[in-house]
Amino acid sequence: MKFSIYRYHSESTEQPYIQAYELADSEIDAGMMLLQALIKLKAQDESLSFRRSCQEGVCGSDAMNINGKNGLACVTRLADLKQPIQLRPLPGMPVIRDLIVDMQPFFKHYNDVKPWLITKDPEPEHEWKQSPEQRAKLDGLYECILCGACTASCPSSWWNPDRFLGPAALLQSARFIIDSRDQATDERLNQLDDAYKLYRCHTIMNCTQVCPKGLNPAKAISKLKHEMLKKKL
Amino acid sequence: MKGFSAWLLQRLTAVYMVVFIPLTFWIILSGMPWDFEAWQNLLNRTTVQLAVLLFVWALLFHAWIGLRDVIIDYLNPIGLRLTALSLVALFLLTHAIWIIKILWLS
Ligand code: SF4
Ligand code: FES
Repeated sequence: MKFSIYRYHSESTEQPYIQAYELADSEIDAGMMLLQALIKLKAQDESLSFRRSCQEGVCGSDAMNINGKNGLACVTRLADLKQPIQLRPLPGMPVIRDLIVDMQPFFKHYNDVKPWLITKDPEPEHEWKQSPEQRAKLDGLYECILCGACTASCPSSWWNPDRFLGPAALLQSARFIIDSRDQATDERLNQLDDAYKLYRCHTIMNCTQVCPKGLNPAKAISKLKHEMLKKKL
Repeated sequence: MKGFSAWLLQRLTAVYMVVFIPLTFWIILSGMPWDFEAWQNLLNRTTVQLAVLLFVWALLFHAWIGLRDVIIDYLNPIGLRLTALSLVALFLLTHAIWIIKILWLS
């Protein structure tokens, strides 16, 4: 099985280059995921670098661009990929080494939306209560694993990476704006009301196409615009 | 104008244009005589003048928000961005004033 992988090492090479790798068919099992193949390639060439942890689509460490589409290596089946399998770091993010990108700007945007419950009422004795219907509204929002695949596929994020929050952070923003227990809805919406943070989204929908967890950031963003309309009128 | 207000205005102007354009075609095509006099009669009515003015302004505002979005997305060097924005603004503003001249001063 053939691979073509982006290589870059700031300390030893000036320019990034593409390196061909090959894995013998005997090394490949039926149903094997791309991450397993990468781990085997690393055994051949220990300088090849990528992030991974859980190996089951839960931690969000191994998002990369696989044959032109962002996804998680650990849940991408080798058999479904056209060869040579082209692996690139997440587009639009600063590369640290090979397939490892700097996620700092991504997490800064995540932090900017204050991804925690803000309450003003005194703490209840036991817990903040939610009806099953109110809880159901969080489905499709809370499952995000912050892999960055969506934000790194979004042209608006490529064009204005510093000021547009990007689909992942906006999905989180929606998650707390919609939460019935959160009491900072107005402040959250006011914060989003400028030319960049939210309204750089032009509904391109790459985010929804790539999300490995099957979430729909584009829908969350339109929900945000809707909430903004409700608040202002 | 930014964020929500720009977003809202872009949609409101779109709605107005979607109503105005077919309505105009309908008025012109439904048996109005095709001569200069009829045309002048139509455009001499204050309601028509205001509706046309509103249409052109809606169009210009809509174009401003849309073009500004394109410029913010694609032109990153700040000097280039400001130049492009000023040129577009100048162009649209000229038309905004020109339409007043066309409707009332000629
Ligand atoms: S919304 Fe999906 S693609 Fe985006 S960060 Fe969350 S899990 Fe990853
Ligand atoms: S290794 Fe954890 S999501 Fe892939």
